[in-house]
Amino acid sequence: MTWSELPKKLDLDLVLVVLLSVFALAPLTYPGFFQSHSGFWSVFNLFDLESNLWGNLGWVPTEAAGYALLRGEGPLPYLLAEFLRWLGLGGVEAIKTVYAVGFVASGLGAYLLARELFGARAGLVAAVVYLYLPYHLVTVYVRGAFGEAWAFVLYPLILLCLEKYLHGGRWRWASGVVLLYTALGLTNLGLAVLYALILLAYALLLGPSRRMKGRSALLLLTGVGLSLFLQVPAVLRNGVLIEKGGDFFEHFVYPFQLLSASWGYGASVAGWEDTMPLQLGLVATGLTLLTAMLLPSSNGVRPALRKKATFFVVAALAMVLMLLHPASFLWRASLLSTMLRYPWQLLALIGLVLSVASGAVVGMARQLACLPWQAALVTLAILSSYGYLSPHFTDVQVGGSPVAVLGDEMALLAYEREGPLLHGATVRLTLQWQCLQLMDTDYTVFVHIVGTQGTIWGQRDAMPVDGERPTSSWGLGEIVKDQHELTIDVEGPREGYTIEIGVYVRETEERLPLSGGGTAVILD
Amino acid sequence: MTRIKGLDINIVLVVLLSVFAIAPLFQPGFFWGAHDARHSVYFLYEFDLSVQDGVLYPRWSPDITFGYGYPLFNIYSPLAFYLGEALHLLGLDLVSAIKMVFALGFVLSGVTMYLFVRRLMGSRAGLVAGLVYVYVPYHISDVYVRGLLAESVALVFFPLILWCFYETVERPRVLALVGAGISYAGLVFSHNGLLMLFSPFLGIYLVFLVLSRWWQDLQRIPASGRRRLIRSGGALARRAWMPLAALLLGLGLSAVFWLPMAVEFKFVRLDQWLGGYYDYRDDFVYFFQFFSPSWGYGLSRPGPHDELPFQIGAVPVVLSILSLAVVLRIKNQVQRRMLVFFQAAAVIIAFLMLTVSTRFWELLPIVIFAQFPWRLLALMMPCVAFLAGSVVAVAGGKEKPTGAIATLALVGLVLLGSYAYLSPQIIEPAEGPVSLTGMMRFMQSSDQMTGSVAWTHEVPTWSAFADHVIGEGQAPDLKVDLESLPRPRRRLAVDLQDSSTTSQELWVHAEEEGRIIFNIFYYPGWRCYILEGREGDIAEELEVVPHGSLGRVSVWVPVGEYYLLLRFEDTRVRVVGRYLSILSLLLVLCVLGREAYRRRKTAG
Repeated sequence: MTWSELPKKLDLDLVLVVLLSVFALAPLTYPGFFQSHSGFWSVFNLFDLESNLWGNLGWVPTEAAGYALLRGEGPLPYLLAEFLRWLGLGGVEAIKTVYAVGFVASGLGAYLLARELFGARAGLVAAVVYLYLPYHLVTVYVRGAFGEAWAFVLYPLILLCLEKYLHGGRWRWASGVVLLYTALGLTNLGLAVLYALILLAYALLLGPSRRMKGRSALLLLTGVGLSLFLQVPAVLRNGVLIEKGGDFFEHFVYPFQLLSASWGYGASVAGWEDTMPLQLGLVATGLTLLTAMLLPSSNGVRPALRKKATFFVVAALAMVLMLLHPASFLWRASLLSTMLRYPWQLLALIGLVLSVASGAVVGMARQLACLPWQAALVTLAILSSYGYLSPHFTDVQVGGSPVAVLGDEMALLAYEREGPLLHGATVRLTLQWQCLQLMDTDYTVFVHIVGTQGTIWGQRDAMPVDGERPTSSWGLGEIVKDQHELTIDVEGPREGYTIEIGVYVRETEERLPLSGGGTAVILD
Repeated sequence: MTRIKGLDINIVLVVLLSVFAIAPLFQPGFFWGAHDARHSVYFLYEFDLSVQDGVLYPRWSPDITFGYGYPLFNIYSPLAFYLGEALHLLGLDLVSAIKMVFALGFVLSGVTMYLFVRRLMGSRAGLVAGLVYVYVPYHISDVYVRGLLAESVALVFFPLILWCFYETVERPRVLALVGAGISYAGLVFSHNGLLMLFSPFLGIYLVFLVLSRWWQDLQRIPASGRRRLIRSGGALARRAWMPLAALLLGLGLSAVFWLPMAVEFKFVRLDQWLGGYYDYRDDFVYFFQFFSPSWGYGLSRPGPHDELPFQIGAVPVVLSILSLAVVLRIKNQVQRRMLVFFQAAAVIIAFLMLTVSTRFWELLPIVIFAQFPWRLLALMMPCVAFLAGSVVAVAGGKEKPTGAIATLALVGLVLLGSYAYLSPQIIEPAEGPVSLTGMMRFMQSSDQMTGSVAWTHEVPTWSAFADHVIGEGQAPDLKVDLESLPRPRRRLAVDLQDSSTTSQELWVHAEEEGRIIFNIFYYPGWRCYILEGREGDIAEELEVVPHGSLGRVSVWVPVGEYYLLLRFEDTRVRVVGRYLSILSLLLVLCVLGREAYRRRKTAG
């Protein structure tokens, strides 16, 4: 093979997509982990799965978030992580590797999809836009939504198989649709059902013949059916739990938020003061608008290509409208609100169509297909998200589960003790708390050193970090390092002490209960 | 975007578009918080003292280490300070002169990178590469975070060397030889650390250039058997002699600096610059740091929480990755070869900055000069700039209109990618305005600029000299340790007659033999004479020996009344270095004169 033959043999753009994903996955190579809304819960879920791997039929991740058939995460990404555990990786490493593979695979999927629709040059741009979509980064580095991050891989691949099937009718693509869709169902069932509607619209509007449209609809129905069937073990184990309403309707997005450049690591709250970014992405939006502008004037462009571009532009617009409050009646009437916890979760699907529409601009404006322009677009896409790639890292080392969960509001992830548990000794305790829910109450932390008879021989009650970080100031998923120093009464017995930790409301002295019962965590 | 009446508009664009990089240098104040900002200013302060004293090639800095002095410019490349001194003599104050040298470094580095890449890839590629080189984050951090004057000047020479040596192989001619020699000498004079890092890189570059060109030559040699072997050997020699000669010329031109430095480096204490903070094992880069957007003004620390940015830069990395697409599309073999070389170099350099390469570092004595593995980011700069430029390179062997607008869009992105980092921290110096007093206070508070010599066992933390400076606001003229003279004073009395940055002339009255100890660090080159009368000829040379735990200059003086001269002079190796440089310079002038004559004759 010579140099001149090499481009024909090798789709270099695939290599470029892999290499260009380096910025997105680089933070995952940090020696510790990153703080996100879900924190270490994906790791704890993984260890929960592993605790009884072969007898865990119907297992779904329920640590922290609990079980919800439609809105909850599915087991598939955890099974992938478990495979990596089997290869010898630690819990955190396995989760991070799945995230990293997810980034690369999602880029490759978007590339293959856009290449199929609009050509290779469009593929590269679409892939990079998809990889660096702000919501994609939010899903990983802000929310730590393990399942949804993996779903980013499956969205484009399913559509790719559907497109291939629509225009080739081969069974391998049909089975691809069903299998990948089922995988999506096992990743996040609610999003999978919503995505089925988009796929259905795509097949019905862009299918080449009535026969293919009908077959495609049947395929999707099979996929949905299979996904539901595979939920049976989980349902048998946990029951049919379909959450309705909740505060779903308080989390619609304000139009300015879709276009805002602000970035934060906070939570989504009722109203417009979210500190979690909900932007569509400057480049994705800009290039989609450019595609929309080119649609009426693109005379030299094949009608089929223009039709597809139109679909993605219109789909993006329609879904963006679904994020806004006026669309609440549609969510309510269609019961689609039962699929998602928050309407803005739809941003993942919007991201996909925006990315493909962004790639379409290269397919439609031939001038942009040269390498310098392609380089400019790719650079712009990465540069516009570059500033968002500084997650909040943490060096906390955790075990297979949190030390304790207190009232579903906070968790004690880990602790470290310095000093012997002997009378007269000074003990320094470092507690690593994690916020599970935003709290209105300022809890006081108590640390008791208790003798064998139950007598308290050392005690300290203080708000976290000596009152500098009251619990009402904790951000969602934030890890707070809280140190306490106390001396064991010299009058007490020589040894045989335990440490009790908990939190309470100072005014009422009411303690926050532990998830496993009791009101105090007992340490060695 | 080509030429207007002989003027290359792209050079103008490189200069004009560097404006964002240099703009902070024109705002009032100085980024005193930058790691070596004070060093740069006070090194120039010392350099200026020597030049004003008539020492045209300073080697000794009299006030460093609380007045004990240090052979700073004997071991630290002086070019940046010559430039600063020239600007200072033109009327700029010391700080402004330093800022203007930084600005010149930015602009000239962009221009040299442009010229190098233009030669290989065309002017549009040159424009992008030149600006990437100016705006690459490490360049900005070198100036505004680390405040490294000498290193920023050295960056001008990297592209120049790569270009000139390329010419010595591809189009061997006298100008290329002289250019390569001068540019290499320029690097030697600019920064020792980068010289030691760049030289192996240059060696590999030259081997690559010569062998690849030789391989191309071999295709044209029709003969077979032994004759072919001889002819191929000849072809190799033809390609290899000029870059080797250029290297020798560069070394010859710069011998005045590097020869004494190489020989006499062992006479300063190295442990001060290699242990603790300077331990290279604590300064490897974590992979994520190459791609992290975070920016800071702090220091490199053990572990992943460095406050110093180590990013390669989003735009340079993206364009370098996309250069893979150029390799497959480009038809010109030389361009393709060069692209592959710089791609491979970038990957290897990045690897060498990671912890996994520790073993490699342990095997190399180069560690002494590099101090920090992340310093290799300087070598990464020309690689990514070249690769970034290639994205808009010619296709199909001739310049194709690949889109001037796309090139300008990329240029805009290059600027945009680093724009946010161009906000240096302008603060007031805690030690007060630039003065000897300020210098003493800085040395005391920071424990910096306190280098000592091999004979120093106890690094001083203060001195009588510094006390005098703080109290009187000026340096004491006499550097003799009066407390060490025998009592009563009349048994051995001294009186200062004259002093300069490198000498002390005393009148001595000694009723018995005794030792005079100077508050100056001993170092080869300090010599002492008894003069025949004031400013008279040398009558006798006395032995100068290091004394005590500080390793100060001491002289055993005979009985009598006479004038004593202590002077810092050139050692034999310094003299040899000086003559080598003069000879090399004469050679360059002769060669250039001959070339000019030949051209004029040809034109005539």
